Amino acid sequence: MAPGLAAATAPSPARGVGFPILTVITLLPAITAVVAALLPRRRIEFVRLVAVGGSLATFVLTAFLTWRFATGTAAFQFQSEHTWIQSFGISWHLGVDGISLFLVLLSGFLFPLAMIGPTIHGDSKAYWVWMLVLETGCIGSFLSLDLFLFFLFFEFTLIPMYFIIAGWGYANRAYASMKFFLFTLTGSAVMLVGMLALVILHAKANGGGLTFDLMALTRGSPISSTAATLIFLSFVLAFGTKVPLVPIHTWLPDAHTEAPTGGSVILAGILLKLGTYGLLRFGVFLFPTQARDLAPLLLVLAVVGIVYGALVATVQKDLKRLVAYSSVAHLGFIVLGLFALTSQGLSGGVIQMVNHGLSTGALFLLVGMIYERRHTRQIADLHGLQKVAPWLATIFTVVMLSSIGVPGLNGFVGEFLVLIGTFITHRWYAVVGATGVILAALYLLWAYQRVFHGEPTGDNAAMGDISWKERWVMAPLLLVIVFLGVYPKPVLVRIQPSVDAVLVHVHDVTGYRQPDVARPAAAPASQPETGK
Amino acid sequence: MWVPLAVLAVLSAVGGLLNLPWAPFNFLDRWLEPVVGPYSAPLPSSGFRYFSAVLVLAVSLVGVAVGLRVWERAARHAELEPTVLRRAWFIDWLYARIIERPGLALSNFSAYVVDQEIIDGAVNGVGGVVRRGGRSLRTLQTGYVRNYALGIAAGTVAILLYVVVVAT
Repeated sequence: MAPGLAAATAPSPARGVGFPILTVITLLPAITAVVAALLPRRRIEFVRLVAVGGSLATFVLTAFLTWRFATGTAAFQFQSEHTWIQSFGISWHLGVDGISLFLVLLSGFLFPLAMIGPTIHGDSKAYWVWMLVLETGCIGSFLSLDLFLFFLFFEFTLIPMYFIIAGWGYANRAYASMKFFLFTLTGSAVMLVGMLALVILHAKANGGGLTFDLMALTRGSPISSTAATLIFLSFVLAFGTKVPLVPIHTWLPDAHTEAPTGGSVILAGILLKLGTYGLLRFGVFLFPTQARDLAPLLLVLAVVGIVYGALVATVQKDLKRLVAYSSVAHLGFIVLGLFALTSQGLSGGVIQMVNHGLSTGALFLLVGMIYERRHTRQIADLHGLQKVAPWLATIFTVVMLSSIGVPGLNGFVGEFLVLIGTFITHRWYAVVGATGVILAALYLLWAYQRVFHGEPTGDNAAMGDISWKERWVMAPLLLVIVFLGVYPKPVLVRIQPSVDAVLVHVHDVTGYRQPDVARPAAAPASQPETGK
Repeated sequence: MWVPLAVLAVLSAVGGLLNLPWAPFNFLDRWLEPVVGPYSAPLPSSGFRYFSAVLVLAVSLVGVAVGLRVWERAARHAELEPTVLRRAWFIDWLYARIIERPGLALSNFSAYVVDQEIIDGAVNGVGGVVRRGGRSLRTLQTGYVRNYALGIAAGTVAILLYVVVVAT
């Protein structure tokens, strides 16, 4: 076995790469941030070179990771495990599976675009440094296989995001950044108590020392079901705030609208996925019984989010706020798929996390480009932009159709899988959820009509089209949006084994079996390859 | 604008060739076989098929003829066209009343009453309560030593009373 693969878990057929690639990917942005912070501010081109270079190098590494990732296995690959605080059973334990792989790749992909794409007003050096620090926090959260380490990275994302909103945001940024911080911190404080309770109760039930290791916590005799339910709910509160689930979502429209464009891209593209990823990795995986029993609660919240988010988005007067509320609806789809507890639902949920990151990230970039030219985001002030900015309108159309979920573009694949997977186990939830697809077409097409159609009036007539640099920033996003819509297989085959392993794990613990019709023919549920 | 129309016209003219019963047109029957497996529905007798084809054609032609007559008359005398036809069977009118207005009302209610007033109102309410609570507690911190001494004395008396009355 090649180095870089820990022998602690089941042997995996993954190829090693000769160096601890996950540790490097996690720490490279932070190291770049330190280097960039030490460079003199008056040589700003040099700082940009280092900062953007660091994030691009991280992207290259995540792409390399995806290339070397072995398909057909659910095991965690490229694991790095080093004891950190022995007396508490805390270790630096990183690993990647099909669920986290594409979230890491998405982070590597979106961060350089969010750093290069938008115009930065103010101190660009500090902005790049915070973005790089944020990138380490995000990637570290997706890769951590130790609860303590995860919590550390999860909390760590708050600080740079707070400063990005508060420092580079729009008029109401102080209120929005404080609201974002307090909401997330309240949820995660409750989750910290839950995590500590889980670790201590698990140690009591099984003897031996404390351990924060994700895999170790799934083994051994279970803790009492009352305690497990309470701990699961504390996780749901923390991750549900991050997703966000209605009614704990009102930090989102404020934070997304007031954040600078790059901050909104990362907030919607990556940070929201920490919530859905956490629900799956730490909610469903650590508490299969509670996830199964309380699935109706999550499903109801998901469906309410889909319909409510769409209704509220329809009547927004601010274009950026409209996109923000569309996230509430889209994230509802992801939660719906995850708690349908079927192969299709889970796969759809995971791929939809990537899709939403791409299409909503792109929408925020485009809205930012409009704002840079018109200094307004009010839909009523924008009119006939199609005439003066045909490139912008064309790109906006493709991204919008992807967000609606039109077949042939990426959004369709995820939404379709989610709806199929949900229909199999929870028919009526899927029926109500499907109205969200129609409502998405309604609010986005109506907004497009008001902003882009007609004859440009007033200042709109003088607006210029987007620059070549901006077109090059949008090009990779469009490419991936179309590619994943036409040929999602390379992504799905890597997600599938890990998703099935989650269902096998749920089956092992609870005896719950997904209906036969949902089971992929090649992998019967009794197959004992769970990657544990 | 005529190009897309021309493309559509050509396609609709020749699209009927798809799946004619002779090769190489008849591939649609088996199009989904790789996914759903082979399936063959029992076909009705050929006489019935010809009958239904002719019937459908005849009904369509009659429909076109009736439509033309109605339209011709109305085109010459617009006032003769019945209101229900002039308003396109009242589809738009119904749509505006059944879907559009209630939908917009529900959306506006969700966005500006439920979301802003109730949910966010509760959120900001919590913030306001904490702020007001802090402000009123702040008045305790007067900075006068005698006030603090009074507090300590009152506390001591309370503890002594507890010890004397309850604990003994």
